[in-house]
Amino acid sequence: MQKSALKRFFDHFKRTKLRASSIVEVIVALAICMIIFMISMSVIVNSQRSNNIRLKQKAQFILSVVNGNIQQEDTTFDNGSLRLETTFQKNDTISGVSKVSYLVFDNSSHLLGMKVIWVATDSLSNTGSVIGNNN
Amino acid sequence: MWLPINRIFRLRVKGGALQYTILFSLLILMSLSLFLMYVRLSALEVYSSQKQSQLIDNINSSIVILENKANLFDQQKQRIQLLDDSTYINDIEISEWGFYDRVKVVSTKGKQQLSKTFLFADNIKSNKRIPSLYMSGANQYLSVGGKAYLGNNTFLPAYGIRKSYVNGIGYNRDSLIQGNSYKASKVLPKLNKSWESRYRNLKTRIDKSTRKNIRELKQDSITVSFNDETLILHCPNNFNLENKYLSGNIMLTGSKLHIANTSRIHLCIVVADTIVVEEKFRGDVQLLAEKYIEIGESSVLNVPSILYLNNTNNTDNILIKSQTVFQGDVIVPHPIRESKEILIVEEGCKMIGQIYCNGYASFEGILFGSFYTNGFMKRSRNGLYENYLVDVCIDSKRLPDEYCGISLIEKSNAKVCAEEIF
Repeated sequence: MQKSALKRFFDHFKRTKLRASSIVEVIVALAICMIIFMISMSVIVNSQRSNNIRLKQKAQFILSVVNGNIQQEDTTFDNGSLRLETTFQKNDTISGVSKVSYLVFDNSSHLLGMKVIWVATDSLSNTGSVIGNNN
Repeated sequence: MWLPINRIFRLRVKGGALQYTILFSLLILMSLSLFLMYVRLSALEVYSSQKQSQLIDNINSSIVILENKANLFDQQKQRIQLLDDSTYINDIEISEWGFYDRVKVVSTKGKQQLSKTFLFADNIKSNKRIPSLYMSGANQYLSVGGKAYLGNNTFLPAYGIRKSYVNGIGYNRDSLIQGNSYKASKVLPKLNKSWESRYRNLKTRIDKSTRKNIRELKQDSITVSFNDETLILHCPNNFNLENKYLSGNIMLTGSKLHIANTSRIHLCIVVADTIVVEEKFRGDVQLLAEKYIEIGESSVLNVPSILYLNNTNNTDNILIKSQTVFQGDVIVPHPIRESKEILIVEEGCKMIGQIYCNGYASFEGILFGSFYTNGFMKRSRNGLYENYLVDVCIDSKRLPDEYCGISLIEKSNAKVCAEEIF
């Protein structure tokens, strides 16, 4: 009589000998696993802390859109996770031109990104937009 | 002590748990290294993007500074410090492109570099008192008829302005001048010397440079970047430029040149003795001639365009035929004795910009801008009228804010970026 496929499959497992591991091997393996796991976690946490890629990308996005509606004075905008500081500095040597610096910080006051542009002061008072920004 | 290599390979680890652990450890380490690489690359990308944005901002900031500090144009090369971070370097290179300035801005941070080239002109609107009409003369009237419109800041000859009849047409408006009027001086204010010197510089440059015969060109469409060397094309006498597209850093020279309306010229300079532009031509070009310039009917010449006639004989003149739209500046600098009209603008011409005509002009169009002249001539079937303006409009107030031309009289103390060139 021919054996069914399922029965043959179980018979194959019955014939196979499982190799056991000694307690020492298991302990060593667990230790290696723990070490690897700890190293991985520390590396991931450190890289997240040091790079803040997502926050930096957010900061970059904010910096790319801050082109208009700025006042001719220092301002701060805080949305909880990011803080945008705008400093307005009139130039003494070139009249009608000012330097505007935008700085983006995270909660722990780490600088995530900055941009500096020079603007014509007249254009700010008229339209509230910054000349020379098309990025 | 040490096992031979062949024995090491023959050793087998029998414990299953340890084998699996080593395998998984390796997999985790590989994943970890991939993750670290990804994080590092992302960080580099963000940093590079920030640098690139700042380089673009630096170039834009340089334009703002150049627009507000005209004396920077006195030097050809300079470096400006825009940021406290000295690793950002901003170099500016200025050179003449005909009557305009070509400005190359190079912003550098480490190995990353970005450069852009712009065409700069004078900020005409920075002068709040630009005249609509400046007509000099000691012993003459200006007579107006029809619907002649003279805008604010009109400078009149010594005898002033009066209404008149020409061909049975009287003056139709309530006020002779729509704004303030002043008395002009006996002679026309002198043209800014730099334009004549620029014309001479250009001629000298062309004479010294190696020129290529236009017949040697195999392609019909030529575009030369302003970052490359200028292509100077020499045209034979009586050359007809047709079915060509010329754009950018190109100069055309010759003695008598005819430009057909099948040609398109963008940003180029044409220097010849006589230049005749066929009707319905379109382009933006600086036309500089010694004897004669003719713009055909219904042509359109956009900013930045220039018509400059270095007139020396009493037959030299500029003729702008009817229905032409011209945006730019027209200059006829030299007063020639016994000369007739040195500038003729026919009926229906719409002009935006400035005209400097150191002699008599025949004007029958519309000008949004300034007109400097010694007097007007009007020819009709009934005869020749001197200093008559009928059905014309000259108004500087309607000169668009974004117009950028050249400062005709005084040295400009404000520049403006006309456009980005390639």
